[in-house]
Amino acid sequence: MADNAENGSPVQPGLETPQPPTEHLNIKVTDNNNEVFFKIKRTTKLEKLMTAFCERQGKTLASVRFLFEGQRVQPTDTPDTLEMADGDTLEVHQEQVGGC
Amino acid sequence: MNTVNAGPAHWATNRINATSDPCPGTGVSEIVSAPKRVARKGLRLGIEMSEEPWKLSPDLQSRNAKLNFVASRVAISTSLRPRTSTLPPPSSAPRILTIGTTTINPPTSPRATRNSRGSRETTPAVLTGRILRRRCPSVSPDTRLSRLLRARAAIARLLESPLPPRLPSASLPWPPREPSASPASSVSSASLSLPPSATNSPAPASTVDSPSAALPATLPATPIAPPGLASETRRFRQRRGEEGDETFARGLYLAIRNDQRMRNCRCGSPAIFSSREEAEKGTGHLRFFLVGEEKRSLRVLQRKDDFEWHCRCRHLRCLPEFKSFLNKNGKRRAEDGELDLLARIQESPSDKRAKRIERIVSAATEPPTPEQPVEPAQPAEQQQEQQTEAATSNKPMLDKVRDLVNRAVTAMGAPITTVLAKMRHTLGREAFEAVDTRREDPTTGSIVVKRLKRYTAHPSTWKHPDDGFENLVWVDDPRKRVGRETIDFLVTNFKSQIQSIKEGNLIQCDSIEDIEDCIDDATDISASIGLHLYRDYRFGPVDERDPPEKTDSILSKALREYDNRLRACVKIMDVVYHEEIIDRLKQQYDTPPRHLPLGDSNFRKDAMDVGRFLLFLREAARVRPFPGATPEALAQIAVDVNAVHKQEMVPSFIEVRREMTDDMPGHFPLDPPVLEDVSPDEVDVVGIYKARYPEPDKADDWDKKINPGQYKLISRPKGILKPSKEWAEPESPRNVATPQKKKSLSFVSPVSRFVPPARIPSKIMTEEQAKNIEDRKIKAEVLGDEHSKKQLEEAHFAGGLFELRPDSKSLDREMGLTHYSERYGRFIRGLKHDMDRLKEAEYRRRYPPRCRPLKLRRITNGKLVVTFDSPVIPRRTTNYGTTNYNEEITRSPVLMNPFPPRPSPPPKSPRKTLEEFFAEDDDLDLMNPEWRPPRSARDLPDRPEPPILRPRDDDYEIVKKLYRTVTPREEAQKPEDAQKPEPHDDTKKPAAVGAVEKPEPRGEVKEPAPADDVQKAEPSDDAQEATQYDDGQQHAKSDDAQESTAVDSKEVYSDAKEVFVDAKEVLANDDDVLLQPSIEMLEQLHLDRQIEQEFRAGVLRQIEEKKRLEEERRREEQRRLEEERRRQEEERRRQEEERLREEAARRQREADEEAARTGLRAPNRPLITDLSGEWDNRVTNAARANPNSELCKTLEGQPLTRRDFEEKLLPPTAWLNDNVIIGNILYIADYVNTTAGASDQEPKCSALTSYFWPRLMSHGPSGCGRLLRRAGLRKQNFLDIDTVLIPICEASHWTLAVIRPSRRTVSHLDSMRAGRGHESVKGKLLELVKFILEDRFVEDEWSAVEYEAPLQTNGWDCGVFTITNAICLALGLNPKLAYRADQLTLQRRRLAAVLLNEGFKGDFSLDGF
Repeated sequence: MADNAENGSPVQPGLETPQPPTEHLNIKVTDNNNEVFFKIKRTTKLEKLMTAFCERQGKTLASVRFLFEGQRVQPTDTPDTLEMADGDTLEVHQEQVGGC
Repeated sequence: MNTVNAGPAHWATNRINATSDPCPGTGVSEIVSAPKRVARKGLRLGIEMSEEPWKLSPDLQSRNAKLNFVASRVAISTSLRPRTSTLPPPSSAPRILTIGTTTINPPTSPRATRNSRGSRETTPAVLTGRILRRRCPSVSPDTRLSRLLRARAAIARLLESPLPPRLPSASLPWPPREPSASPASSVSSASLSLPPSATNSPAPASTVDSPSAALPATLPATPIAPPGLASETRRFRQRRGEEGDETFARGLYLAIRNDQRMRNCRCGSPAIFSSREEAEKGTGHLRFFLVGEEKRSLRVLQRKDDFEWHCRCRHLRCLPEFKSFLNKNGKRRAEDGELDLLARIQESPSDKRAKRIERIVSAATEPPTPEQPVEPAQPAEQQQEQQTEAATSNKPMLDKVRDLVNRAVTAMGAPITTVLAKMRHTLGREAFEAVDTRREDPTTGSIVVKRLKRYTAHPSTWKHPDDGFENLVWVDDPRKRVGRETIDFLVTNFKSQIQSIKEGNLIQCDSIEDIEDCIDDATDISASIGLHLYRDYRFGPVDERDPPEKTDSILSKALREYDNRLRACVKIMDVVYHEEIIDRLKQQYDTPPRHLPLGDSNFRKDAMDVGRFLLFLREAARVRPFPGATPEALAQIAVDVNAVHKQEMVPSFIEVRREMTDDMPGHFPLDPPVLEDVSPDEVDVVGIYKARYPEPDKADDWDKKINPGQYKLISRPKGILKPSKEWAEPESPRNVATPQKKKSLSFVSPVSRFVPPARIPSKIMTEEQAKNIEDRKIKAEVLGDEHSKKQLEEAHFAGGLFELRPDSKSLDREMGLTHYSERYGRFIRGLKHDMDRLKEAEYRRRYPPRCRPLKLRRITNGKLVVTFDSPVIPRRTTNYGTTNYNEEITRSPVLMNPFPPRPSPPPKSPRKTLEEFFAEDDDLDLMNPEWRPPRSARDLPDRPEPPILRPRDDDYEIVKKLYRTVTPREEAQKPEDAQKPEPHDDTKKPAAVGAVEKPEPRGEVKEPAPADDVQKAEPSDDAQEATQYDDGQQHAKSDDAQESTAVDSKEVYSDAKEVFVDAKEVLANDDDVLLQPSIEMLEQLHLDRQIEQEFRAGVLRQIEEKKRLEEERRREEQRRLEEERRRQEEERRRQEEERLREEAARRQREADEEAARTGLRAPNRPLITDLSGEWDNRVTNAARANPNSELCKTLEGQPLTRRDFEEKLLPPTAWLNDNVIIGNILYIADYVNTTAGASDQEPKCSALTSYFWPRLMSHGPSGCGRLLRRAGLRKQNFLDIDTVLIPICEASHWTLAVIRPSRRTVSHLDSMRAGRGHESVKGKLLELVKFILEDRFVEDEWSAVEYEAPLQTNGWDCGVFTITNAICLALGLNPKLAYRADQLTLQRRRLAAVLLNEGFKGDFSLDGF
């Protein structure tokens, strides 16, 4: 849950007070192997983050899904619309495909 | 039945009785035995006749006609088989042998005989002669017999010159034929020669005295055609019309040529005349000629009145290597390669019959160009086009490759060819070379030509005596190379052949097959065949038109040569392969020299002949394999012998030195000092050769070596940075300047300035060679055949004495052997058949049976009058060692002939008995042209074998009856005749009748006959000789007597012979009285036969009737069974329907129950229906859209692109991705909520994304608060919600979890399990429910249920199942009733349309289900 994530971050309590004025968020993006930290503005569309991540990992955007607490992140979303806090984590999942 | 037929038999009996005792001493037993025999012959006649007896009865009046019929039947049906002659024991008669003098009958005729003898007498000789005469026209004359006859005549002629002077000229009735006497004598002349005016010929004595008058007129070989006749047969015309002139002629020619090739026929291809006129004037049944000036082409014409077939030899069997191509019936065997041949139907619009399927042979196996027949219907331009097209289209790779390969093969084969050609050249003929120089005479201005003629240079190898010989040493045994056994075998074989020739154990026939057929233990088959082939090889095939003299001289020449060659072979092989020769040579030479003269010049000349002969044998071994001697061995010997001829070192004498020199690969010196004991791990052991010539070290080189073309170009760095060092252009070989050539002084060689004379003939050819080349050139041009072209090349290259034979496969490919034999084989056989028939007809026309005199027997007999008393000087001059010919000849006169018809043991007495001669004579007479060897029915395939006649029991009965009817009358007529000394037919009648009345089995008659009758024949022999020296008074009488005796003895001795008495003649001489009873009998028999036939018909009818009844009964039964079956069928159908109805009712009931249980119902209308055209287009376009453009957005905000449609949804086997699933499921929930008027936060139906379930699994329910909130699932409203849809993707499989809070159920639908879910999933769902409801959760209310859904049977549709199940459950429908699994491909498109439509609205509204 969001609480957990907030509590899990050791930086968080100390930075709690300057949070509202800071326009920048540190967001951890992780698939199961790598973790990448991004610092982005609250109003920045997450598309930029996703694209950067994909480029770095050599994946195509179409084949991965970014989830914030189980909710799919759309390219047009911003940290604001997702009510993200500093240090929140975006999980990167493979596209789900099934047939048999 | 046999009434009529018994007549001839009867008369024959009479006659023989009458004539059989000209000399009183002949005894009774002969009289008795002869009638038996004749009676049997009569029986044969009878059987012959019995086939159509009623034809005779209508015209009883015209007896002649009827008798004609009888006669012709006899003539036609006569079949004679080869007989095994049983020679009578030798007698001790004087040594003058006279053949044929005895039975000279005046060529007058039955008439004359009757006048002299009385009413119904016909001499047996006449009869026999007539029989022969009657047989002859029905057969083609070119048979074996005639050859045999001629061979026999040849002996006579060979022997005839030293005839003793004491033989009275009167006893020479038919002098040996002079060549001038029968200039146009044909093949048939020997057997068919006939006196010109038989009916008017004078008395017998005069005939004997004037042989020229009695010389027979012979049938010219090529009959002059009656001008009015059309010259072509229909068959020919028709085929030519079908195929077109040129194609036909070419094809025919090639077919004939190939056929000859396959049979190893040496007759040579048919001649090609240079113009039509020439062809008209020429000879031959088929005549090929050229037309056109610039571009010559081939035509063929047929002269159906010319019976000269193009093949005169009688090689009828295919060579063994070609046998595999043809089936027995001449068709081509199916080959594996044919399976993938294409077939093309060729149809020409004009001619229906031209429609046929033609194989198109693949290019690799395609026979040469004329192969592809040009359809006659196609116009010329079209052909042209086709050809050019083919030329261009077929040209590519394959042809080039083939060209290359061919060239390579030719190049590789060249040394061999050269060697062989050289050998051929050297062995074959002296080759000259002419060099001529021309210069202008300064004084006169004319051109002076000087021609130098010299031997062509042989490879002058021996000029440097020991060049290249240092590694050669003498062999121990000269026979090692060829093989000791082989040489021994060959020498033995040659010696035995020489011996056979000396003894005359040879046989001569027309073909090898015949030889093989006729061979027996006493004759030497290899010598016979060898000689046959040698004659063919040296003098070409026997031409039937040649006069026998020529043939015979050729034969004797061939024999002499063959014998000489064999002796030379033995001599030379004895010398060359002598064991001690090496020792002697070793004494003379230290090392093998190059130049090695052996023997004197004669010896060396012989060696050349032997070399040729061995090559001939090598060829012959192909035709008939030489047991024990391989062609290789023969060739090796030939090489050795050739070396002897050229005074070179004989290859068999030398071998490569056995010790290795140290520059040979693998050399390892074995001298002790080199070897020492070293343990192998201490030192590498390397062969000296390797150590001395080490292989270049690969590894080192490889790294260092730089491929000059593979340098890397590095571009000059851009930018402001200066390189640390100057970048130079990489060195390229191209940039290296060309080195200047050193200029040096040189003198110009006069050789390089030499200008060759204007024209130097490369070769001086013999006329024959030039003709050969010319001939081949024409063929190559006209036939356009690959083989012909090659032949031309070969002819240019060398004389072509011995051909290099390619293997049969390539021959087939090159010559189109199978193709042409398939195409024309049958046609040519047909032509031959036509020709034979025409020939036969022609014979009949020219020699109608009636007016042909009967002189044949006399002719054949009269020729041979031989005495062996006087010294016989053989004409042959061969040095056959020390053989005393006279001695041999006196011992066995037949042996003078190299080819006696069959081997006969030499008689003990030097004198040849008359019986023997008659036995031989029988051969001559009986082996009429229709004779054929038992296995050679192929000779005359057209003519059916005449049925073998066998007397039956009732035949004997009938004969008995007939004799009974006749006898009383005859006796009444001529009682007094019996006392007369002159032989009369009636005298012995009772005896004859008695003999016939006790019919014995044939074997019994046969067996004792020869033994008995030898003695009886002898006196007659004496009498006969007596008549020879007699004067003319008694001549006529004794003549008859002799004749009859001759016939008797002949008939006695020829057991296998069947003489068919010419019924017509016999009858013609007789009275009506005798005929009468036979006619009555015939009618009686006819009646009997009718009765029998009716009886038989009655029985048949009864059987028929019975069969019919049976059939009816069976049909009845069948009908009944049928009906029964139909009834049962109906019953079963009714039960089935019943069952179906019940089933349906039960299903309905169950469905209702199910609906009650699950709260799901059946839909009101089908869930999955076709898309409208517009939507179909939109879906299709979505799969073709710009890959990056956003086609639509799901409710979640996820943009969908072309990839989602094209790759993840629309292909029938695509696996669906989360975008599609989530998008659709959300739309379902949205539709339900919208329809129910519920808001997002108070939904009736709620959908979660597929990422909910992994989150639930990993974080538990408490970690999903955000998602649950977003889905509007809260404790307060949860129980009001109808459906919660949770798509799950686990292990690449989409399933659907459903919670129906209002019904308090959880369930899980897995399409792979037909809707049943997994318990674990349901447990998790209950946990989730419990987490959401917290204290409102009452455990007892909740249950896990199973829904039924269609079963997924493939590996790709589960996503679609999941969505469709979700639709059903959200709407409260039973999935199992709502759709079927096979509709899901369509459903994919519908789902795509829904996504594009952004929800279940409009066209996709779910209202009304």
